[in-house]
Amino acid sequence: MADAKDYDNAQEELSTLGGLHPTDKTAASAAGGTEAGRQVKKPVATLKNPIVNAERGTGDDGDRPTGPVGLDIGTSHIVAAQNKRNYVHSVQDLNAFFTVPNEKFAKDILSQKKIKFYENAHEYYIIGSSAQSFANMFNMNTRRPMKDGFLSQKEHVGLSVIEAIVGSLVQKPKNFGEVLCFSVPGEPFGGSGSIVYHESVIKGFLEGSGYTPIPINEGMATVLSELSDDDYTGIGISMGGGMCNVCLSYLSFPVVTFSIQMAGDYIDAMVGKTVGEPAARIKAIKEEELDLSHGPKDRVSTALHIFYDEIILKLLDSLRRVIISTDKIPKISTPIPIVLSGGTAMPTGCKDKFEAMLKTIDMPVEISEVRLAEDPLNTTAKGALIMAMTEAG
Amino acid sequence: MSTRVLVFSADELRGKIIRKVLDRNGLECMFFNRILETGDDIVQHSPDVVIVDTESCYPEEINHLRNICQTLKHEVVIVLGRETVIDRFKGPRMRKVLCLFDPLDPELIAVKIKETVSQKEKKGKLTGGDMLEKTLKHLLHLN
Ligand SMILES: Nc1ncnc2c1ncn2[C@@H]1O[C@H](COP(=O)(O)OP(=O)(O)OP(=O)(O)O)[C@@H](O)[C@H]1O
Ligand SMILES: [Mg+2]
Repeated sequence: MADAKDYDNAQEELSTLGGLHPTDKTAASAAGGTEAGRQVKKPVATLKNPIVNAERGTGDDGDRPTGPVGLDIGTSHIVAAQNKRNYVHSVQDLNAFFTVPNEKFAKDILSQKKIKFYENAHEYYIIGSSAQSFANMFNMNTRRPMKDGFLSQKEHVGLSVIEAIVGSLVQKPKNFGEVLCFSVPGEPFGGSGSIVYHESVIKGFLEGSGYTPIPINEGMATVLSELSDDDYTGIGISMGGGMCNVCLSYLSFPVVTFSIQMAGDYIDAMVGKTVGEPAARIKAIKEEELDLSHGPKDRVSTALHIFYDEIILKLLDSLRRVIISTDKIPKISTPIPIVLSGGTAMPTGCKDKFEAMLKTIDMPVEISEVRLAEDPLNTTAKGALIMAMTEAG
Repeated sequence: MSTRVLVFSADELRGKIIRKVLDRNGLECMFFNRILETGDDIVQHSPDVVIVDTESCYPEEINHLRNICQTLKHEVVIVLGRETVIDRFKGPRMRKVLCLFDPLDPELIAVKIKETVSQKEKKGKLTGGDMLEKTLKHLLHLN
């Protein structure tokens, strides 16, 4: 296992790339659909915060980055990060699909519109954010390859969909055996799902694509991405779509990792049930309007506040119980930070709510502060990239 | 010459954490997790300090570590783990060892090593001549 000094080297390498970069005009166009609007670009301005994000879909292979890859295979999104000339390039798409019958005219339309899809004997599989556009068009839901952080038992084609989405985001490696670090969840606290199965089937397809795949715990990826100034000592929490992943790291060693299978999807479903609205509508309201720093203003926001409270409380309670019951944590002489990442940590006021609720819990380790990750949706992929660069040497 | 430390731990995470903290404290540290080969490693590397971590060890490995501790004459020996297990390293016929109970406190281990080694040097046990001999033996793999 690499140690903190090595990770610092990878961080340095990313940060010395330095300087402002030109706008990547080719990015963000091809994927189409709603998510393409999520392009974010930031200058490489500060040391240790060098990640610049650009989003793009298939095609346009000429100018793609090469080298080690950080890959976040999440319940909601798949994000890939790679080092590209003077900035780090991260691309993402929805981890979702939609099928239409295998008919000639459908293929023509899909091809003309540059929609990401692949086909089997009976159906076309429209993947990523294009799937969301189709689902909206037909007033249906997308299908999802993953549930609660793991490959979905319900979707037998899930792995091939993930493979296709990854293939659309990352080129096959130039050098056979290129290092690729991919995120895996922690053991669910009182939940279900097999990490061993999930990890090994994903590893299998990545190996088949010519990579040397290395798994990284999602909470640990958050630590590597965000806690370099703290000697990689602290607690990383990734609050995603299917789960919240937690890692307590000591000097870059993941001494405690676990997950809870409650996150964005749970909030959408529970609020939807409570107020009698479809989860997809709740998700849209949550992402666009939710402000946790002020009291709720209507039925939906009241329910959103309630289920956010429930998740944060569950996170803090399980963190407390896991820390109390383990003997793996070394004595830590100074208070340590908590850093929050993932889409579910993004609403205004989420960090403050977390901090306020933390004050009511008797945590067995002293916490110095709670922070929000620099770029919550891309944190895991960035951490995985740092690990991949370190392993590649 | 820097102090040479060998760490034996069946728990890879603990072993690596100890190694990292000792490295940071300027101590030259090696970590081994094949407990039953402890004896060979000590002969090969002739350390100043031997750390044996009893955490995650099988009973047979703990017996082996106990026996090894008995045979060490000049090295500083530190035993880590739970109180109930470490008690087995004490007794009238056992060599005196320094015991540090869980939770693991890597910084404390570093402090203890520095304290003990400097006391030993003060007592003249590791005089300049001894050190030179030890270094030569180590380089030539003579001991
Ligand atoms: N601005 C926002 N406000 C609130 N929630 C958001 C926002 N943006 C995204 N989300 C929610 O974040 C979740 C997706 O986050 P993320 O992409 O980090 O998850 P993931 O990594 O795919 O999933 P997981 O790690 O659980 O497997 C979704 O539930 C989404 O609704
Ligand atoms: Mg995630």
